[in-house]
Amino acid sequence: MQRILSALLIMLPSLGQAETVSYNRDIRPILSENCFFCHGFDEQTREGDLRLDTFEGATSGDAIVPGHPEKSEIIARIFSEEEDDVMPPHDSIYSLSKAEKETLTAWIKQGAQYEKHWAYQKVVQPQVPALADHPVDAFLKKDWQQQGVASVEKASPRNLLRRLSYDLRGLPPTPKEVAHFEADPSEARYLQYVDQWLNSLEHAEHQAVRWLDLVRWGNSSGMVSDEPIASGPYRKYVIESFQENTPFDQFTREQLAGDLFPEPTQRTLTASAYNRLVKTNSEAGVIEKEALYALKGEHVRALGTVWLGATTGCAECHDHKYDPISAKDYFSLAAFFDDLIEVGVYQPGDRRAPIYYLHDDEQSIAQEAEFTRQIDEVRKKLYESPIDQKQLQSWTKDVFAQEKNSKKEKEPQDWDWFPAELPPAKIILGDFEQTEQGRKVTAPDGQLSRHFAAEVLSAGSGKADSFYADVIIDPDHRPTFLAFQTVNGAYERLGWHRDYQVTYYWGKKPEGKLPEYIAPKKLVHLGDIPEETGRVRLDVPAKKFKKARYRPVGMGWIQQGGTVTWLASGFRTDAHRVFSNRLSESALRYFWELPVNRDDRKEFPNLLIRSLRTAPEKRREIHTQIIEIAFREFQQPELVQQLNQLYREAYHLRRKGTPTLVSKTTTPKKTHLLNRGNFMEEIGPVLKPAVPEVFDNGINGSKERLNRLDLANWILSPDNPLTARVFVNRLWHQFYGRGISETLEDAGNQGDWPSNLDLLNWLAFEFQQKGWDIKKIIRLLVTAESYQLSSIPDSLLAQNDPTNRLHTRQGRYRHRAEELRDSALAAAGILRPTQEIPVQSFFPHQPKAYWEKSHKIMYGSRYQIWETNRKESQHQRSLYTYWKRQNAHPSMLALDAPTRQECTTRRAVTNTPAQALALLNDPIFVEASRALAERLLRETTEENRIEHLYQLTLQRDPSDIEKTEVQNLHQELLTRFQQHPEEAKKLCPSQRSSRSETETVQLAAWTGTCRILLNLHEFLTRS
Amino acid sequence: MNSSSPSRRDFFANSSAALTGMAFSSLLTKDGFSAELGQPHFAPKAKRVIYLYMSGGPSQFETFDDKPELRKNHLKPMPAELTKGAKLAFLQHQTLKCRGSEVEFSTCGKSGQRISNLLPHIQKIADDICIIRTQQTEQVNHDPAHAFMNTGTAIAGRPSMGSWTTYGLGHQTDDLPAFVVMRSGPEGQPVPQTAWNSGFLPGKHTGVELYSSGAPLNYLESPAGIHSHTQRTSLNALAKLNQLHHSNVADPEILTRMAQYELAYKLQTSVPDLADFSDEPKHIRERYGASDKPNGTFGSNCLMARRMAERGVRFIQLYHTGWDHHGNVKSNMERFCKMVDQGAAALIQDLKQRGMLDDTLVIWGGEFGRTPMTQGSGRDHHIKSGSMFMAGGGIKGGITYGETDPFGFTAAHDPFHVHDFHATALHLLGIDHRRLVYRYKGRNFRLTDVHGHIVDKILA
Repeated sequence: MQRILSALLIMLPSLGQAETVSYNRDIRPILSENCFFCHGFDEQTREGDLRLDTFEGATSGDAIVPGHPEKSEIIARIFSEEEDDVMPPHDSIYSLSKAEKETLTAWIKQGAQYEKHWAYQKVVQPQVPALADHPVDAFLKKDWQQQGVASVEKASPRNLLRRLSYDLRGLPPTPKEVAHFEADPSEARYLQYVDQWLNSLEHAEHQAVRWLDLVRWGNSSGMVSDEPIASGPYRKYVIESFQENTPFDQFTREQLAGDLFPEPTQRTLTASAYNRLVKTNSEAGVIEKEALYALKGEHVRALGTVWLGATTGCAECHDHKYDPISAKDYFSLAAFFDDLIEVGVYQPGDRRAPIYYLHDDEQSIAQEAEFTRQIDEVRKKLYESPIDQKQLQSWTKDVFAQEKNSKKEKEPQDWDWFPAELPPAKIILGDFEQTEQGRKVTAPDGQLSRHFAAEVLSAGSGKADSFYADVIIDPDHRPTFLAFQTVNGAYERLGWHRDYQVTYYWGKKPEGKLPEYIAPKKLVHLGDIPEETGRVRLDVPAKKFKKARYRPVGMGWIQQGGTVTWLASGFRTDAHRVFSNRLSESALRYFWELPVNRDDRKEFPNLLIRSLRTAPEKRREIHTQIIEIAFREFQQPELVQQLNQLYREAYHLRRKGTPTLVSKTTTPKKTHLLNRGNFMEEIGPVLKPAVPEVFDNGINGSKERLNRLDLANWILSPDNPLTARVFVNRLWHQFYGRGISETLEDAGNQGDWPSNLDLLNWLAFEFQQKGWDIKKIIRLLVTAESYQLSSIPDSLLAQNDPTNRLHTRQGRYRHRAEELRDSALAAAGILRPTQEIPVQSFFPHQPKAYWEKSHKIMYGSRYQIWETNRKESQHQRSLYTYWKRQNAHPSMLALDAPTRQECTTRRAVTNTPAQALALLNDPIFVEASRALAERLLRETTEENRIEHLYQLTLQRDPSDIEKTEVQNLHQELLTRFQQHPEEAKKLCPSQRSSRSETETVQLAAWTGTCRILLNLHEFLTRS
Repeated sequence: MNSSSPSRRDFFANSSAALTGMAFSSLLTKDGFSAELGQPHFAPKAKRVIYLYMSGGPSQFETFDDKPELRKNHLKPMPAELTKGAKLAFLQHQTLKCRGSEVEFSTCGKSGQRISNLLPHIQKIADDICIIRTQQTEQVNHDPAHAFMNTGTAIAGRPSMGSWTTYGLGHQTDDLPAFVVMRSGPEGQPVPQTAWNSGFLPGKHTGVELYSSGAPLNYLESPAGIHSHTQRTSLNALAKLNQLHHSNVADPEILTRMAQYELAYKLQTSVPDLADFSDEPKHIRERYGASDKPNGTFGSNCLMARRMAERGVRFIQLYHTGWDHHGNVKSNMERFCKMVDQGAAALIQDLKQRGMLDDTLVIWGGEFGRTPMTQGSGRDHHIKSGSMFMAGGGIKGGITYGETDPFGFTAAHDPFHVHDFHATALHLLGIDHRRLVYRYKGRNFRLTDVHGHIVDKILA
């Protein structure tokens, strides 16, 4: 506050004395900053039983005596020079300036009136001052008049269009667009660009970046192992929503509760992935309960940042120091998310179920929905049936007896891990025809055919004596090569690298280059193709196994030519293992589409027997659960069959679908009111979902348990004072370079006093009451004259209002990371316009040592490799970059992109040598320079090359002196490359052999020149 | 660039003003605009920090905490009263048994410190180091524990200790980053890069990772075909063009940008120079176990650290991974101690011989200790006890601070909490940990939150 006062005092020296002191504007910031920590909302740390955040508290004793500063204890204390008396205490980091002390005195003298915090007052729309046609201008002009300041002049047409283009699309305008506008910089033409760009896909993409920052979207789980998650469809959803201008209320409801809609659609389910963008852990040794409370924190902090502009996270450990949010409020908000299916500690490589599969055609969409419905129905029947304890006991005895027998059996047995009809599998590749006998595959002569299944609902654990695959070979159409593969992974997940595949084969090795799925070094020959007709076994004895680091999780079946029917495949093992494998299928089936704690998952192979052996009073939840699951399955084999069949069919459909994270509701977990956030002592009461008391609009009184949809509705209710203000303030920041309240992330007591509260309220009302129309607000913001001002301050403004609090000019700052990369590609003419919004991310160039293989960071669970995309797909817009939250792209980070581990409302704007290095040397910028040079040579002749270069990069002509400088640079580079043609070749390796050395030298000199243009401050900066 | 200019630069970067410093002081407490101290609160003992970070959590029972009583009770039950209600990781649902160390300890130096025979080189510098045996943290798993040790909180995204330090003290050199991180050790268990992130502090306070072999820095090398001469020519032209732009719009941010490009150019020579060990005498290289260029080992990183310290790098953090010995703690500790023992001792001796140890704070330690309880043949994560050592920079050498109970489960006296560690380290750097604050999301943040005591007993 001090900063504001001092800035304003230069202009209005009388403020604070002649004018009425306003509690909200002048006093609250002082008290909040210096006093509330000990004399505020948090009861536990309140000192001297004094609270200064309410009139009642402050005046109940003699701390503040309204009208009488001389009788008010706080005045005596703040002016005291005694170490023991003075407030704030002399050893604290707080202190009051003379001006602040005087302001407080004046306020008490005027009666010490308190006001409700501005952001907590219901949004009411103020009158638009009759000072301008455009409401934004009218509000600003009023303020300027009062402050006695004038705005700067309007920006030049070129600057304006460049600004508008970046603000609306994150891309520079084309030279043609600028020329067109310069020819007629009328309002009509301006509006034409506003509307054209506002409705472009580029705009939606650009707008999405900010939302993705806010909700901390990434392609990975965000913690230690940082595995890929199915978040691509959510990004697409966000872009589509901005493109379609989905009303913000719908946008909010879909994300928080898209799964709870009466009739969820692919769209609303995809949106509900919002709740699943939380960072999740799969580290060994993490305590489940602690991790679950950490997830609650993720949900509540995001809610606070995205919708409420409230720093809710503080209240995890104590009542908020500055805002009326208690620890109880915090945990009650957390309880809204208790119905989500999620676990604290995932299994490494876990896909983070629940997952939903998206399809393109109506028929598949309907089928998917139908499978989901039927599966839920059968599961309900199967797993919620009543249990007869007597029968359970006799079954238990029976299980023990069978187990004993299995141990006696000495002879190894076949374990048909992949029966002739494949069990449900999460991964199925290749084609086959399912016949009565088995999977029939006919391959044209000389051609390889492979089908493959992994991560199946059938236990694959245990020591094998041999692997086998049974086949029937058509004697009239014999293959030349017959093989099967065991494919390894860890944690029951498939490895992603072909090194993990061992191929055992019979017959003749295929000639020529082997396909991607056969690792040449792990190819084991076992003999000729059997001559027998009828069922024959392909057998791999134990001594032939290639040493595998992880145990197999899948199998592949390959043939070259021939007609082969594949029957059961599996391994021979001891009878006891076969028995255990069979038993463990209950757990696999039950958790097939559910996440499960990694330690519990590890126990699956022996979970049932172990649980049965554990004394009932010592059983953990998972023990009891698995006994009941297995018993119910035993009692209802026909339902088990039905469920298996449904899963099998569903996964045949799903192999063509696109997985997305979704929210799914279940019996709510419990949230206790924790003492200082300590999950070890769950002694506080269990809380039900409720909104913070101070914002309760009656919703907390509901008899029904509130859910996420209720939460969304409360967020969007006209009684909620925060949501609309916070949203329009963020938009204002985007288009004017600073917020009306600068603290975009905090609209609470510690938040920045708005520079123009009426304007903020007016905009908030427009947004909240007139259809939550985002594009309408954006259009309002960019059509104001104030938006169109120059960004260069006059010297008086520069001194008196250095941070542009009064918005008398436009903001001027470096473009954001994505914008810079996209601009360079756009100038070069190689930016690939988005045809269809991709779900997959692309992998751009990144430094070699950064990360190449995920095993550095993923414990080898899924062997993901950084496979840099081939040329053209590198040229997509930056927002489609693979975003690994633990290792975001180094250039993006250097240019202040957040890691997205936490919600980010505004990015920093720094200026560092690391940025210079990235912009100069990152291969993508070098590639852009080269492409730009090629474009110049292609599109121009020697005389107008520099003009064209300036047009392509800066959309203006160079001045004479600039032209000379660039000419000089080009000449110097040309000379250098002429003397060192080998350097030219390195900079511009030839794609075609026909390029002459002279041409290469020519291209290199222009590449070097373009590289410098792409590093110009002007190129990097919003005009 | 002097140490006060960065804050101005940040300020200009965020404002659109072409102004002198006039209304500047009033902006200092603003969100995101807090001033760097640029200078210490009081005379510092240490000017820089070299933090040898043993990632994964090395066992104290095989390094610095000799527990005869624990040996005696090997594989017998742990006293239940000690372990009741303790927060454990893998051993959550397990019966708790003792694991006595199979490693011999010796009494070393004039000071008579007890140090494991797995650390023969460290044993020789016993009189220079202060061993702390009562390291305590609050986080029992790697990811949050790294965050806690580096940033003082388990919540991701806060500034790290190195960032706070450079934010507080500015930097001493323009040629190299002020906060540098290097890694060695096996791959597998990762160190999150957030461990050296600047959080809400300006991004330039983020630790810069130099790779321990190969090209040391991202995008350090000019593109293929751009000779350093070409780079210079190009940057001269860039500077001229930017200068022309500045004469039109008078935006001070342009001048800053020009300075940053010059710095980048300097880094292109200074970093390769730094990583060229050929100017080091053979006996020095051998002492570290390094070769003529960085070879990725811990010893090589230690030599690099000394070279950086000489060149004015403020905060150097060397991570050595792989100390997470849930199994085979004996053989693993033999292996890992061997990887770091020589380099760490060489670093301290080398600094001492150059007269730099006095103002360099050297820290050795992990994110937590390990349990006195056995976990198979290894030890689990442990937050109640753990060992680390510090040397130089105002630390009293040749002493041991803190004592654990006979079983080594927790501190018998003088616990040394992460917050105390931070407070003490900052104190040595001349910073009052209660006054080094940054305003963010409406409140003043500190490395030590609302905690932390300076541990006077270990100060020289």
